[in-house]
Amino acid sequence: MQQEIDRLERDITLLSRAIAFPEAPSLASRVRSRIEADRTRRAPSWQLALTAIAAAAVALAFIAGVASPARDAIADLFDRINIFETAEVPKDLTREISGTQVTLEEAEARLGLPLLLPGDAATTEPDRVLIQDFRSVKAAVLFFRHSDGTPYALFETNAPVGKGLPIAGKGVLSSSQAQPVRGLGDEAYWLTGLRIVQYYDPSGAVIRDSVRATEENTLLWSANGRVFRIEGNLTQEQAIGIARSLK
Amino acid sequence: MTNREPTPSLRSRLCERTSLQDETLIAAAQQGDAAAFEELVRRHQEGAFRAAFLVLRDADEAEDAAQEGLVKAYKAIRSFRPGHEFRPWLLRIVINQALTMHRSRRRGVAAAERLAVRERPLPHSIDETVIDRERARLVWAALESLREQERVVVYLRYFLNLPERELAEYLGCAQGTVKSRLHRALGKLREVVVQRYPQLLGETT
Repeated sequence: MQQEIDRLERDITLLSRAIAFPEAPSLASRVRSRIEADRTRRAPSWQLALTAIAAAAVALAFIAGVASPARDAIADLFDRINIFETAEVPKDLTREISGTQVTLEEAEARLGLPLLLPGDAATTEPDRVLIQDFRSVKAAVLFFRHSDGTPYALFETNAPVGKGLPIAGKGVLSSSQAQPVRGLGDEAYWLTGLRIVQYYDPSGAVIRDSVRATEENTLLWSANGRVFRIEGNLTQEQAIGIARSLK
Repeated sequence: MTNREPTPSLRSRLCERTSLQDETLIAAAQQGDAAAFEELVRRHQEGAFRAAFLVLRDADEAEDAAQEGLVKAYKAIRSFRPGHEFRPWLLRIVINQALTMHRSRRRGVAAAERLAVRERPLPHSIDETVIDRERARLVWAALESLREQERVVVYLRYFLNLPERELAEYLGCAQGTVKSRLHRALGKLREVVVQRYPQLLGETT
């Protein structure tokens, strides 16, 4: 009897070596999408609309063979910031940059970090300064004018530059709307087209107050452990020039 | 820009992510970090899919079962106790999901069809230099005749190569008990073979 069992054990071992399993599908991004979908299920109507739009954008990208769901079409660029492409924006979603108007000194104090200012602005003082306080994430928004008169907003946040976890690097690089920029800070991207911007809290939940749409050209980069963003109808060269002039 | 302490680039941090220990990712996932869980899934999805495939013997159904099981695992991640083995914990959830689908499928088919389900063919590709195809088919069929838990133990040990330590974790028993559980499962397999596939105990086919 033991001999028979030994023989069966040998057969099983041989079978396990000989069998060719079907190729395992890539489940990671799909599971992530399911998790995110469950989170938004209890979200307010405009958030649901956003989710639908994001899903539609993802689906379109997928059909077009441009990207795979969740991973490629949604670009988690930094730890607490998510910017993703969209084809349309819900009517009740703002494009305005909200916040409390403060002085430059107050903004710096509330951000808890030294603000960097562009050397390329028409004036050294910003037109106005807002502080966005999303509790776990804060951003100072400095409104300047380029030397050619084009207005732009400089965002300086206290969001950590990733724990290295949520960055969908492949998506960033493959997206037609997010192109990597070389030679600026630690990592930089040039974003164009209609997008949704939102911040996350440390638990990974979207901060509702932070969600807005934008169609302005955006330069997003990290440097020295900090995250910066310039939004405005600037050219890429102009935005990079401003970024390089920060001090 | 003024230069301060240099920070690693985002790209290098992306590389670091892949070198993070499971424990770090699990802790982050337990705090609600879906991206950390995504990385865990990326690491374990092949094993999860294979486990589901062994139970269901159908690639499409295995894909559904693995995905559903992994979503359930995320929902239950806070119940995972640090210091324990993660892979058997994850596989248990995925395999339970596959077994549920398997039972549901069997309930849904008529008796004649049930026999057909039991006789599901081998995966299309077998390395016949390792084992004769007919012999492989009979072993495959005999395994399907075992009771669920006996079958799963065999799959985990021989097909997914779980070490005894992880198998003990999966079974919720002492490591020393694993050998006897395996031996019992093989004993049951022998009984099945004696009754239904006696040619396996004769000369090599």
